[in-house]
Amino acid sequence: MYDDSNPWGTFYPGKVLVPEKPEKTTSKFTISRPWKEVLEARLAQNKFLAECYKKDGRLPIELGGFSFAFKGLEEVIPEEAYYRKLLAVSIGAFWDMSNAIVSFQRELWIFVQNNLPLFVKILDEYSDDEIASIFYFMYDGMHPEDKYITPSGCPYKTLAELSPKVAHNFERAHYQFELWEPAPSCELHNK
Amino acid sequence: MPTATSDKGGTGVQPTTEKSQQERWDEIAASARKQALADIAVDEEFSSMMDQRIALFEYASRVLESKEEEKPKHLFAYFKALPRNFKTFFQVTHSEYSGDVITVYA
Repeated sequence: MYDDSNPWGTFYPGKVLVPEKPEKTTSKFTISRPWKEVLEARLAQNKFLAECYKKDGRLPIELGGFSFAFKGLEEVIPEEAYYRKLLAVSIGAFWDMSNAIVSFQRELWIFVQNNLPLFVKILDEYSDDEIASIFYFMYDGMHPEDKYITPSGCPYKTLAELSPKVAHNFERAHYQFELWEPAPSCELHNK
Repeated sequence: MPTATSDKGGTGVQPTTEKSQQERWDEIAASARKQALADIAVDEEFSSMMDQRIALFEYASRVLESKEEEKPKHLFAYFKALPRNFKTFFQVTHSEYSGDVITVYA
């Protein structure tokens, strides 16, 4: 079980520690015909990719840039549609050290800082537990206490004005962290 | 504001009405946003996690390889292929994930 699993989440993958990586592993996942053809065409073009796939039966995920932070995505996709999907993925999410999760969490913070009213508008449509789980994920990580002292990291008063429901669940998520202590610069401290 | 002028005098000054690369990209992106609004709510469906991972890899590669005019189309496909729930997002982005277990090599 992940130590940092989300208390309002439903997905908790088990963790198996293997002492040594095997020489060769095989993928347990099936690939349907059309995508197999696409993959084979890519493997024929890219020797590095082909080597990785031959060795592990996996695609090196870093190459794909599987991220909401993919360059140009925000400029092309309408803002509300982009952030609706971003928030949908954040429900029940938890932090880990992978680039995908770290950059994903960062995108959420950028959203809050750039367009708080839209953030609150979308959140307001979710249930209490879903909202709390999103806030929990936003503060989840190695040093959650660092984020409290960011001036834009704790916009409690604005949240409360826009939606008391969202503000209440913001507090619920915060109190999950043992380290939580309102910093003097945090507006929550002065409410 | 610079305007287009003929270069009959042979001054060597080039007309400056041509749009900059950034302006061209802004127009392309704006046009793609309009197109996307009508179609954005429907995600692409996949029969397996591996299919989804290959699709994302393929669309990302097409974005990187294509000309500017073609990029929005592939970015749009990439966005539609992105998962809409955390479990699938986790599966797609973690190559060590298998079934309900993630393997960590010491």
